[in-house]
Amino acid sequence: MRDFVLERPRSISEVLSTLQRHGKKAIVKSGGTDVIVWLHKSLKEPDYIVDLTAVEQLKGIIMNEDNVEVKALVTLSEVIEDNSLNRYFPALVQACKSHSDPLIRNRATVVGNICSAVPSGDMIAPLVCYDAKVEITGTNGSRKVPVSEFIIGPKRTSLGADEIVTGIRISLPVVETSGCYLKAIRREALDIAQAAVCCTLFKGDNREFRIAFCAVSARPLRATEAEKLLNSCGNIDDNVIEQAAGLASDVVDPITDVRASREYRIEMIAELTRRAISNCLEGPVGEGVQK
Amino acid sequence: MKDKRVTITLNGRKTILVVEDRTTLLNALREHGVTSLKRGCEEGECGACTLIMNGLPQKSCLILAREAEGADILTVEGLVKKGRLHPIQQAFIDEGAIQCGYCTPGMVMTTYALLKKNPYPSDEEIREALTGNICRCTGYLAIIRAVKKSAAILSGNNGGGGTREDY
Repeated sequence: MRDFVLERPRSISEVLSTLQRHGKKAIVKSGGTDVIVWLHKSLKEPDYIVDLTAVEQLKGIIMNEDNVEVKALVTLSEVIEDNSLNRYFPALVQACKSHSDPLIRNRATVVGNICSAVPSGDMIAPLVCYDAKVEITGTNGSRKVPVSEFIIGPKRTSLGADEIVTGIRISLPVVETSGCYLKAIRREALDIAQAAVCCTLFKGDNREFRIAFCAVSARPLRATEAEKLLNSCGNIDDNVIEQAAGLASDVVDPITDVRASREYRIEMIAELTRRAISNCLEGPVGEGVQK
Repeated sequence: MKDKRVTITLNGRKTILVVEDRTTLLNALREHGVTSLKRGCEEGECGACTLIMNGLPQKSCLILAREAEGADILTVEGLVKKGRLHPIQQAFIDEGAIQCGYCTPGMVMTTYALLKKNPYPSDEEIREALTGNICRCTGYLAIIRAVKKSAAILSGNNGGGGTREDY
């Protein structure tokens, strides 16, 4: 591993001044489960690593009246063990459980997963379905962007060199919900998705389906046509599900690589979408906030 | 340049490691003599470098040594008390859950963390907990038997051996 200087700031303001000093010569790391592998493989050779793990302000899951903040250093294990997130965002929890293995989940962070911005990132689709906002702070102030705008391409985000993601914020559902994250993989642990589908259903008077994908597009992608069809149908029978699965597989644009071919991925998206819609209709049921 | 000092509690003892910024916790501890940690893949895949840091089992190849400042770290070396093997270690031997032994310290530490959190794991929970530790020799069945045997001994269902509190 090439040598670098490790900076360990203690506060967000120290992080920002450190980034201002080093500019593009620095890489920010949180859990490090991607970054340290990149360094080992010489895929990245930064002069500086800015390690966030000593910044207390970036720790914790904070439940507010109508939203939840998942701060930058929250690990996948913390999400899995959090009762509120299990109640309100079951698809996010499922995606966390499907990621890597329990040892890595003790370090890997939700925010790190979206900052790495690889198309196979497991956090992306559930955060798109739950309409999470990425909270960004830089020397010129703070801003919030939806996950779908934050990720602008494979391994590319809209984050400036002097900015960090401090956390994500998700509105709590006001109606009963159900959701699931289904993933095609070759083995059940330590594997990267060949393709995955996240489906969430917000029940109540204006029933709303949301469907997003993993590993089949360069940027976060929702199946808007399939969603429209499902949201407009009073009775969702096998026929409607079949049509929705077809519309879903029409919009994806996967690549062929070592894990799977483009054709296989498209087939799997249709199949996973079918199953995900059925799962959502049958539960498991997540709660809405009582207003 | 090796000029950074990291203070940790290693197996109950205050320890100072002298490291470079780029040194992983795995390499720092191996150089310090903690050779139970194995350098397998160095990319978080194999689990041979698993240790327990602040109560959580983790892969030490994915941690920079300086991140461990102030941390409480437990490795297999810390499980041996007065020359006696820990019941988990003994169970791995008794069940034939060791062949080449390279994965064993990691398996033992993951098992230790699992049983602290969940003293009565189901087969499913044992398999899930061990998914990050790869063994290329025994085929896992003996390892799962060893974990179940450890759980029985540590929870006192072993016909009069030690109790959980002893460990």
